[in-house]
Amino acid sequence: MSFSARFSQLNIDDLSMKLYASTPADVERALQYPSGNLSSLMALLSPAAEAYIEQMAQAAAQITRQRFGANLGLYLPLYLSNLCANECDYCGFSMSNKIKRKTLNDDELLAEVDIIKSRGFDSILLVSGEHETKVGIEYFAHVLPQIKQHFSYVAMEVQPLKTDEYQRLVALGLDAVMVYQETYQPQTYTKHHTRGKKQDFIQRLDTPDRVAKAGVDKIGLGVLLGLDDWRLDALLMGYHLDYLERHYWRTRYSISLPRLRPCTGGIEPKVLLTDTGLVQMICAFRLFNQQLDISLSTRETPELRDNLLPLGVTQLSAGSSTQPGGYQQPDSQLDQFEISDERTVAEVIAAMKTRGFNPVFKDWEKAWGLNNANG
Amino acid sequence: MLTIADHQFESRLFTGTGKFTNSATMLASIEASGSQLVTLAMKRIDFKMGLDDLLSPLQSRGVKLLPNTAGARNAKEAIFAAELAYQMLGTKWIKLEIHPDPKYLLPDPIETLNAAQVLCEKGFIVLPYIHADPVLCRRLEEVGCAAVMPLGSPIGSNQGLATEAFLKIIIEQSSVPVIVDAGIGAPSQACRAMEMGADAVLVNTAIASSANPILMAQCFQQAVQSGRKAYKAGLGAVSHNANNTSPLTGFLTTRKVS
Amino acid sequence: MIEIHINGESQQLAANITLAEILALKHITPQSVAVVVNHTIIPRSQWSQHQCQADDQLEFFSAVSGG
Repeated sequence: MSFSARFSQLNIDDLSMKLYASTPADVERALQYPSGNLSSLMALLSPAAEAYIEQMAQAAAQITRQRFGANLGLYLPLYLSNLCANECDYCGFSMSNKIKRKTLNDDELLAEVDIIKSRGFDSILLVSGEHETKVGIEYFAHVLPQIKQHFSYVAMEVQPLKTDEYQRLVALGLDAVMVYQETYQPQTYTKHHTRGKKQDFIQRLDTPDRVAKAGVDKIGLGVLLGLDDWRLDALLMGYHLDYLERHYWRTRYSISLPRLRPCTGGIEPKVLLTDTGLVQMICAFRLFNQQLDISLSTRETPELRDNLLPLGVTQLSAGSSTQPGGYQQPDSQLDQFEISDERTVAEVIAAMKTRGFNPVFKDWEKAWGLNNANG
Repeated sequence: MLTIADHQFESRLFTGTGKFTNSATMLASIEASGSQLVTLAMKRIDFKMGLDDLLSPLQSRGVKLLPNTAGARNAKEAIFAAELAYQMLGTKWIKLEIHPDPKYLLPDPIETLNAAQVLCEKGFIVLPYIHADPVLCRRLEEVGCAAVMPLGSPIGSNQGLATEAFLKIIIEQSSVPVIVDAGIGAPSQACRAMEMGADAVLVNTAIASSANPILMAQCFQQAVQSGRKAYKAGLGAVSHNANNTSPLTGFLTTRKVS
Repeated sequence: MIEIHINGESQQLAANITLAEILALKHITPQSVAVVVNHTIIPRSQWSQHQCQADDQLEFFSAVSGG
């Protein structure tokens, strides 16, 4: 049993109609019973909820404070490779983009790790393009132990793998896997993914199930907001989250809310997600799920990121590079996406502290790194 | 309609057969309650007393019989009791109850989980009676139980939903029916359980020990129906006072929005 | 005659008596009864065939009211 079976039962057009037909009364009821309730999530994501945004923000901030205190986790992405065998029109690494392709060797990897460590980070997100043969399970199994020596928490955002491959990586120290569906609308998905294995919508959709069965600590979901109707995509991501939490209840979950940004050879968003919409989404998800990690990348401007901090964000990156070897040799041409917050870690931390938040670099002890495989 | 395993129930009020003054009252109360599932216990026959034929009248009403493992103090005894019940009644439905504590009759979670796993593997339809522990309920669901039966308060105490906060969590998280069992002392409490989203309730003492069990049974029937309908209708919003703190979204209008 | 223990009480019964015969003797209708011999549950289908031995511990259970 996996999510694609549940997904096929959903009538997306029907959900869309109901979402847009949500009334102020629906929003008010949702605000009373938001937690774990998909129809509440729908109302909170609807246009009708915009009028309640301050109330949503207050409630979301309170829940986040109660659950997470004033802690904000800091992590950094480490790009292992930009080789890619997919054609995705929104991404700088798309296979037909003429950029210099690079995969880090052991020395280059260590050099990146040293820089990241020198900045104080202890939680790392390994990222690569999706190239099964040249940057596949053997490469990951090779680099992971080297990296795990240096960081308490290691997450990966790479191509979908098989359950036994995930199990192998968990045994080597993998803590979390991020796999973003990009969009939950199959037709839009097809339009943007024109070559390579990423074209397989269902295989990607079922990836979190395979990851959960391998016993990781955390699974990250996400949609690329702007590819399609963001309200509907967010709602469907909510269905995905709900399903996963019910079936793999020992696993933790996070979501990421990347908005489509300019990149080399990139595209314009189909539906614009305004700052108000982004705030609404963060608050809606926090109200829907009190324990969800919500991650904010450097795609957004410093000002906006700082204002989003109280609303439900629990993880953020700072001083990121989105290209392989980018910490040693920054060169914006190779970036996967354009970075808007270019502040250093020190600057981001200072901004956090003035707003009453604690930066947390380490919240995980590898000595207790036992498997927690879901039955 | 409530579906548990392969059986459908119109009534969400389940009743126990214990503690009635006599069989006639018990049968009349069950009739009055509209209950379609009753629990039974098992005992060594006392030959001097002879057998009290409970079963024919119940069976002739089409009521589903749910034998329990009361008396079992551990998993082994409970498993034995379940097998006994199967031979006795020809049903694989079993209410798993293991309460070694004679004072409060609180269920042993470890023995219950162990017994549930074995019995589910043997094809029994297991309805475990446990404390309102959400994690335990998940574990029981994982091993294949057909429902979970978390207690409201100790058996026979009529204290109501002392575990309300945890029942809510269980109801939120469970994929199998949640039947609130034990401690429901008044129709209003049964109604409350149903309003919260419980799939059914099991009531015994409150009906059996009432001065007028038949009338009380009717009240419980109405309370359960009412609570269920209220749940489906959607309870209205409870108003709270607004908090006066600094605005969090003012920045959206005071700056240029991208 | 052999000595058989039934629900804790000793009785003298005919040798090779079957479980079905004991039930009839005690005026117990077989519905809603279960039989255990020396801690083993004997299925209903075997009651007519199962012959008791000397010193057998028999236990007869029935359904009673309970919560």
